[in-house]
Amino acid sequence: MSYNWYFQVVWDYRQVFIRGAAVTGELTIGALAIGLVLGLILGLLRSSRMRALRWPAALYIELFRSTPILVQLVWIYYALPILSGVQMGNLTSAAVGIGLYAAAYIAEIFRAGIQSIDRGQMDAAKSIGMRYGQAMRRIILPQAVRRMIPPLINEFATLVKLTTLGSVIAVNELLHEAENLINNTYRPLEVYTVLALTFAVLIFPFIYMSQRLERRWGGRS
Amino acid sequence: MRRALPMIRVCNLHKHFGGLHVLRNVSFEVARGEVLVIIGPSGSGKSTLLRCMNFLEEYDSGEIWFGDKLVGYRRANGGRMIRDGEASVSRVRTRMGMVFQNFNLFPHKTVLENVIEGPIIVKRETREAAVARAEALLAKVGLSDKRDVYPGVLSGGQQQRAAIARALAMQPEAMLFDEPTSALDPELVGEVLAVMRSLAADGMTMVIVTHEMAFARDVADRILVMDGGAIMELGTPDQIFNSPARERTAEFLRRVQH
Repeated sequence: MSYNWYFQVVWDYRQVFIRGAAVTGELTIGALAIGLVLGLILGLLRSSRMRALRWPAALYIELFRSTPILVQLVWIYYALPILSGVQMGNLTSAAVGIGLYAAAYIAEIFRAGIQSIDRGQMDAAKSIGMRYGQAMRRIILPQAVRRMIPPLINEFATLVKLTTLGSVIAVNELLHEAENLINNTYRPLEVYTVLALTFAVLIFPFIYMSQRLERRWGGRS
Repeated sequence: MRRALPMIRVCNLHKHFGGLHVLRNVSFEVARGEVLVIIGPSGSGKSTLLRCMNFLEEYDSGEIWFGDKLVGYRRANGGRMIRDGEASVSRVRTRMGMVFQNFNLFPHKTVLENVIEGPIIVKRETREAAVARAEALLAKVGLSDKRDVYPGVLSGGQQQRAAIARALAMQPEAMLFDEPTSALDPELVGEVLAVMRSLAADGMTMVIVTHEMAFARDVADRILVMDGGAIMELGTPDQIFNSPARERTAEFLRRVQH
């Protein structure tokens, strides 16, 4: 059994990958921004002492964790406009959909990080007259963030890969571009191979960075 | 002549943890400049009482006054007590320093940063003013050479002295100590007690929960003995140690001193 690899065709169409990677990057940044901001808010609500704050956050998190993201994306793109009259472009829809989904997981990372900090830290912060918000911002979160970096980078890597789901609502990210390319060149093996490597190249630096940070901060706590 | 207002006044304090009645009708006063030491068997409510005094722990009924400020609550129209706002609770906390059994220094900040954090963030002092006072305080507790290291590399005794400096940096009117030497190796206890002694000698109002009986005897103006969430006895060290009114007090002292 032999197959004649022909990577030249991929090289000829390298612009397609660059273009796709740019959209993947855009989608990642958009989804990440939504996921981090909403995730932080949900994580704080989730660790609140007040049930009225904790409950809605828990409901959101469980709802988004227990439904498939592909269904969420399609729902946001096709169903939401009918219900709300708000029609977002496909890139925005994908960023919002993936962002809302990631927020549920990021919220749990924040909550776990906050709860991993010794209760005495909050006591000490309060005892010098800090308010809850000041204590969170200056004392609890800076320590929690360091513990949250590895799971957050993990979540980030997952998020980059999830952007490929944008292809089902016609976002021109890497997978969608690659599939278009296959339709033109009939070279699926080469294109999918390079596509996989492209993701590896995009994601690896972040994993490396997280390991470096972990080592640098390791000695201080 | 009007009697001077006590620094701290606790009246008919009650607190429950679930079904557990941990503080039962506790009342006492601490005068300005007084050193009050609280002793008693573990589980008798000493730490909970201390934590109620700066509202790290809420209380169910009764009153705690710090100077002329009710701690944690305020009177609504008609005299009903309602929970005080966060700003007001934080403000009264700045008036008392607290030292914890486990130090609770901020591990992501250097010793100096720990000490200037409150003055800069809470009191909005300039960095120069805060650093100047922090350096004086670190000299006082014998940690001038440790100002730029992180708490993780310090011994327990050094950490607790840094924690005392952090509390003093807020220029509190009183200091609360929650078993400050209980987490220390025996050979490090002395250096922390020495710092506390010098504070007492400076006239600081102090409330100290401790198991160090010799220290209590030496430094306390009065000793409060807790048992089962209630005050068993309150008196001078001489009364408590040499002629306790209650047999249970005598029994407790025999147990801890041998």
